[in-house]
Amino acid sequence: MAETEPVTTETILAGRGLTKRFGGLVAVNDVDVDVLRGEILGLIGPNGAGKSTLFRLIAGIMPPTSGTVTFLGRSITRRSAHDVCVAGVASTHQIVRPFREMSVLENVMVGAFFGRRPRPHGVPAAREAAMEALELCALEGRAGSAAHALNMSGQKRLEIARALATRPQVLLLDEVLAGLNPTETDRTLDLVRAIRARGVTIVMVEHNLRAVRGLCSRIVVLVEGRKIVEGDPDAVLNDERVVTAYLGTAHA
Amino acid sequence: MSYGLALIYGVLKVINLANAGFLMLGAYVTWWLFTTFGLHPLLAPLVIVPLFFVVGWGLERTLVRRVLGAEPIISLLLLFGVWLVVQSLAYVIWTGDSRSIETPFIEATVNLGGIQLALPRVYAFLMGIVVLVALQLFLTRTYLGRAIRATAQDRDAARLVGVDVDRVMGIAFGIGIALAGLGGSLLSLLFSFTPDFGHELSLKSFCIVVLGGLDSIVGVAFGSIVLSLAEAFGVRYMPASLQNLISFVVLVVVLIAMPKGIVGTLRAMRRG
Amino acid sequence: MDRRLIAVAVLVAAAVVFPFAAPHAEYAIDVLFLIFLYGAMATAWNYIGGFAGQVSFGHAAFLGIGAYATMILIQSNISLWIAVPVSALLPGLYSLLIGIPAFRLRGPYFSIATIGIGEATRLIALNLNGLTGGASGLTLAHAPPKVDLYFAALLLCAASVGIAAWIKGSRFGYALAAVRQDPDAAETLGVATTVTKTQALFVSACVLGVAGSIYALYYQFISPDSVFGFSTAISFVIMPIIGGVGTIAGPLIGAVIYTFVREQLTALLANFSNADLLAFGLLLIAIVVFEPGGILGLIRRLRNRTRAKPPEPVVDG
Repeated sequence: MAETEPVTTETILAGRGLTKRFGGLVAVNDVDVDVLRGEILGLIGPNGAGKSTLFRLIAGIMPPTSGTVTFLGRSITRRSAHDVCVAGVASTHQIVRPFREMSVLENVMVGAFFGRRPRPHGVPAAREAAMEALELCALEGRAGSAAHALNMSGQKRLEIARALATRPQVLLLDEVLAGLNPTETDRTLDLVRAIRARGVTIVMVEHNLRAVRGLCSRIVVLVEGRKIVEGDPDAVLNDERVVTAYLGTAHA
Repeated sequence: MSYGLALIYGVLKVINLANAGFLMLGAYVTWWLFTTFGLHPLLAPLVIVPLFFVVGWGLERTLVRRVLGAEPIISLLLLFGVWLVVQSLAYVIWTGDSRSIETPFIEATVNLGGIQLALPRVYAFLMGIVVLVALQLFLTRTYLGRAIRATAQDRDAARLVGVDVDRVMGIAFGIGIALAGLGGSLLSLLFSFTPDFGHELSLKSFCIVVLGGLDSIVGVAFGSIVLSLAEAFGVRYMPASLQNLISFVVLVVVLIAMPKGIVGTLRAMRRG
Repeated sequence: MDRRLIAVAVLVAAAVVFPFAAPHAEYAIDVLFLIFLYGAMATAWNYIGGFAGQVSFGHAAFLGIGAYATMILIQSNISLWIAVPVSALLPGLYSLLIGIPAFRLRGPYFSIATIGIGEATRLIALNLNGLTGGASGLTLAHAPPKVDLYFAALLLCAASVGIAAWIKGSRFGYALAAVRQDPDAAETLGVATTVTKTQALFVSACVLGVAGSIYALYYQFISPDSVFGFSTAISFVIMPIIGGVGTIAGPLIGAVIYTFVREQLTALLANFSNADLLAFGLLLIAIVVFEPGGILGLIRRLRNRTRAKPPEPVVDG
C-alpha cells in the first residue's frame, strides 16, 4: 500500500547515464533516475549494489565518471558539495558527523546560516530557524546539549535536522533507519512523512524493506550497479528479480 | 654537479611510513639530529641507527602515543615542540658554529667513466639505494613490515586481525627516526652543518613526499629524483640563494595541478 | 561576564594613561609596546589558526611584507596615510595568492606548506637587493615618536581583539568553526570552505601587515631575518597555544607570557640565545600533551572540577 501519491509528475532531480568507476570496479553502471517533486523515493538493493555510490553521485558529493545530474533543469554535475546544497539538494551521511564541539542547536544553526537562499539574517534569525527544524525532529529539548552526548537515534535526527535547516527542496537520506530499534524506526518514519508534508521531496537509501514498503511512493532497485526495476513498492518488492537479488536463486 | 645533487636526495627520501599521516612528520623533526654524531666517520651509522631507533621508540611511547587520538595537527605541534627543544639543545651544546668532518675519505674522488665524482657522494648514493631496497623488502616481505603497512591503512582493522598496534607504532616511529639519523649521518659527510641544517632539508623532504605521493617508497624515490633534477637545472640559471625556492615552486605547481602527488595522479589516471 | 569587561576596561585605561604617568619609563613602554603588538598579531593569527583550525607557520611573511612596504614607501617620501593602508593590503593580496595552492592541503600538510611559504618569502626578500637592501636590511632616518606608536600598537591590539570578538559571534564564526571541526560535513551544509578559509587568512594577513608597519616605524630598522625569520613565525603559533588557541583572550595571555619570558631569559642567560626557544619548545610539548586548550583551557578545567558538575546523562533525545 503506497502511503503517499506523488504530488506532481514533474521531475525535480534527474540522473542520466550515471556511471562511476573505481579502478577496475564499476560501482554504478549507466543508471537513469528520475525523482518526482513531492514523492518519497526509495533506493534499495543488496549490499554492494552501488546504492551509496549512486546516492553520492546524485547528492553532488562525488563526481560521476560519466553521466549527468540535473536539478530543476539545471546541471549540477561536478558542482561542489556546497553549491549543490545552496541550490537546494541536501543530504545526510550514513555515518553521522555532528560538529563535536558545538551544541545541538549550534550544529543546526550552521545548516540554517548556509544552505539555500534566502538565508536568515543574523544570529537570532538563524537560531529561530534552527529551533524550528529541531522541533520537527523532536530535539528541541536537547538544543543546548553537546552534540556528541545524544544517543544514536538522537544523532541521526540531528543529522536530519541539520540538513533540513538548509531549506532543501530535495532531501537525500542515507540509511537513516540503520541501527534503530522498532520504536525509533517508527518515529523516524513519522518524521520523514512530516518533512514530506512540508513540501520537501525525499530520496531514501534503505535496507529496511518493510519501512520502505510503507513509506515510499516509488522504489528503484539497484543490483550490481544497474537499475533493474522501478515503480510501485508492492509490485517491485514482489518482483521475481528483486527477490532473487536479495535472497538468492534458491528462493525465487 | 647535478649528479651530486641527485645522490644527496637519494638519501634524503627516507621517510617514516606508518600511519601515513602524522607519524611521517617525525622524520622532519629529527633530520638534524645527526649533528650529535657528526664527528664520527663512516662507522657512525652503526651507532646511530640503533640509538635513534630507541630514541624514536621511546618518544613514541611517552609522548606521541598520548596525542594519537586527537586531530593530526596536535601531533604535528607536538613534534614541532620536540624539534624546537632538540634544535635549541643543539645550539646550547654545540653553539651555532659551522661544523664539518674532515678525513681523507671526504676528499677522495672516484673516476667513473671519465667524470670525477666525490667519493662521499657516491657512497651516499649507494647507501640511499641500499636503504631503499632494504626498506621496500622489509615492508613487503616481513611480517613486521606488513603489519606496519596494515596499521597505516586501517588501524582498527589491523587490530582486529591480531596486529599489536601499539608495538607496531612504536617500532615504526623508531625506524623513522633511525632513518632520519642515518640520513643525517650520511649528509654530514657531504656538507658542513649548523643546528639549522635540518630545517631546510626537512622542507625539501616534505616537497619530495608530496611530489611522490604519500604512500609509496618508490614514489618518494621518484619524487626525490625529480626534485634534485629540478634543482640541478635551477643552479645553472639562478643565484645560489634562490635555489631553495625551486623546490618550493615545484611544490606549488604540483599542488595546484596534481593534489595527489605525481604517483597518486598517475594511479588515478590509470584507473580511468 | 560584566566583571570581565570592567577588568578589561580598567586595564585598557591603565595602558592609555601609563605613558603620561611615567613618561621616562622607556623600558616599560618598550615592553608594553611589544605586548600590544604581539597581542594584536597573535589574535590575528588566531582567526585562521584557532578559529578556522588552519595552523600557519608562515605568518611572518605578512608581517614582513607590511614592514618592508612601509619602510620602502616612507623612504620614498610617501605619506604615512598611504603607506599604512598599502602595508595592510599588500599582505592581504599575498595571502590570496598563496591561499590558492595552500588551501588544497588539509591539516598538518597545510601547516608544513606554510613553513615553506614563510621561508620562500624570506628568501625572496633576501634576494631582491635593489628593493629590500638584501641581508643588511633597511633603516629609517625619521619616524613618529615612540609614544605615538605605543598608542598605535594599543589601538591595533584593540582592533584585532574587536575583530576576533565580532567573528566569534557571527555567521562567519560559525562557518570557521564548522570548517575547523569537519570541513566535509560543512561543505554538505552549504559552507564554501575554501572561500571561508581564504577570507579568514586575508583579514589575518591585513592585520599583520599593519603590525609590520608599526614595527618598522618603531624600531626604524628591519632585515629579512628580523621580520621574516622562522622564530618570528613560530612565535605566532606559540602565543595563542600557550594562552588558549581558538579563544579571544588566549592569544593575549600568550603574548604577555611570551614577552616576559623572552625578556627575562635574555637578561639572565645572555649566552644562550636560544634558551627561549628551548623553553617554548618544552612548554609546547607540555601543553599539547596535557592541556591542548592552553592556559584558558586549564582554568576552565579546574573551574569545572571545583564545581563538580555531574556528567550529562545520555538520554533519548
